[in-house]
Amino acid sequence: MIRVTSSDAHRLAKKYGYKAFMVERYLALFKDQTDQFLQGNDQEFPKTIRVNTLAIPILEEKKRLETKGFDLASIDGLAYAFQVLDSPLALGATTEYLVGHYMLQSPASMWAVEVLGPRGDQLVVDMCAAPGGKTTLIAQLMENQGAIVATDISRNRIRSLRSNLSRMRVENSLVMRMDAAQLPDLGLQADAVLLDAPCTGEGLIPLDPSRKQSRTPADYTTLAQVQRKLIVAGAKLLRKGGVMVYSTCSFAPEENEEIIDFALQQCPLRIISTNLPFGDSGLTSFFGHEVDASLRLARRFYPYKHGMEGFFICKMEKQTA
Amino acid sequence: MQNGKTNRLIFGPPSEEETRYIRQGLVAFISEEAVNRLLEKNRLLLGRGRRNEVFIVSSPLWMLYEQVLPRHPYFIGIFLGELRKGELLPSLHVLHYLSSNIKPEVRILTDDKGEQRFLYGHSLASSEFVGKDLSFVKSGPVVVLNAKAEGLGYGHLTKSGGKTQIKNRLDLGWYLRRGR
Repeated sequence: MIRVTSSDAHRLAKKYGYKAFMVERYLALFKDQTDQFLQGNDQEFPKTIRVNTLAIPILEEKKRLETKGFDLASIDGLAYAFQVLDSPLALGATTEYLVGHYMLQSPASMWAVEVLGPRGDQLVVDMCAAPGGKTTLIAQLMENQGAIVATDISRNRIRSLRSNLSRMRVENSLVMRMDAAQLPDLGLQADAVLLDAPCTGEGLIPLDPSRKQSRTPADYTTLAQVQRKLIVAGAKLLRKGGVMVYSTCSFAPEENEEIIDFALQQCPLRIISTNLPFGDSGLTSFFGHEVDASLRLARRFYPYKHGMEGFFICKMEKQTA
Repeated sequence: MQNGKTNRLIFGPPSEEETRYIRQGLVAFISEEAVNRLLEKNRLLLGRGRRNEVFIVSSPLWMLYEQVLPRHPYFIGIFLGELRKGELLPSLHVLHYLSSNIKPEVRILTDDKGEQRFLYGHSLASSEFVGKDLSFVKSGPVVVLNAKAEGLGYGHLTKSGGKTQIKNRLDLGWYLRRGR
């Protein structure tokens, strides 16, 4: 953990409105690109929607929204997703939204599910599922076949999950309100597990600038403890040959590469390629630490480079039962 | 759930009597054949709690349900509705299926203005109905659809003093007002 803040860190922290300790960490990670990185966190991204093919064909919905005056742009690699460049109505209050034709969802969140690659003959577990953006995409890719076990511990957030499952016409989910770390007690043998772990959410600074000031150094440690417990539980849930995707919306290696490195030591997992044609490689050394070299197969996304919120995705396969 | 509060449920199959109420509730909106299509290959589960909630569960989900017992799910499959005093109050989750198979006598189409008013929770006046001679429609539960024949919610048609109106019982605007 970096403790001493440099004059560069103070200067940039003041310029961009961050706590100095955060910028000190970014200087160690991004070096001479730190200024660009911080500038990138101040840019706004167009809202994006994902058409729900369980409810309507993609082009039919596109045409319908364009007739209403929406200006939509395709997103490379995500046939069902569109950037909304202009909208005459609030995206969350149209009739189309209410009848479940689309979900407001970031591309990074969609990519995490694409990397998981769920199929309709599988048992898929979504460990921290609320409010359900990824769960409903999993159901969409499974064409409402097979089964999804979705969990969340929060009483309020699980209501949002249920509401979205209903609105988006998901029919193949079983939702449990519980600590996902206890999921192995249920004796499931999952084909695929998605762990979009609770995190500091640094990657969401472009959407919520209050995060520049709301985090403390202790947050990384506290959340890393939770993430370690969850990833070990996720590995236990998998059958041999099953795959797990671990994702966060954080830049912090303590919440990403260090968690995966810990899991590789504790569980029979190996990292496999995400097959994503973009994104930076995962880090294999940071803050004076070295981690497993296969972490280069993980993917990092930065607002200043990839035009989306900050995100981390790593895909793993279970090697033995 | 439709009132937005968490309801802890203990699940089990419905009794024969409860199953009859559930089928009767569906037959009020769709044909016996459409009810059979909805339920074939699936099973009913009743979650008993502060409110009694009915779910339709596919075979893979049923196997999972049996596996997770004695823990009880929060939600499973398709939420069919709430069973209250022997009456099924159908949910928004099943609205699309009911709308697609709705009996003509309980199908009410509304115009764009009516659509917006209904989605804001308002009742509908007869001037907002489209293409229907309501003299043959009985008072009782109806499904309100927009001009594209998409279900917007459930209403109760009343006739009094020569005036016909539809009281809003549950509409998709619930997702914005209570579902977040």
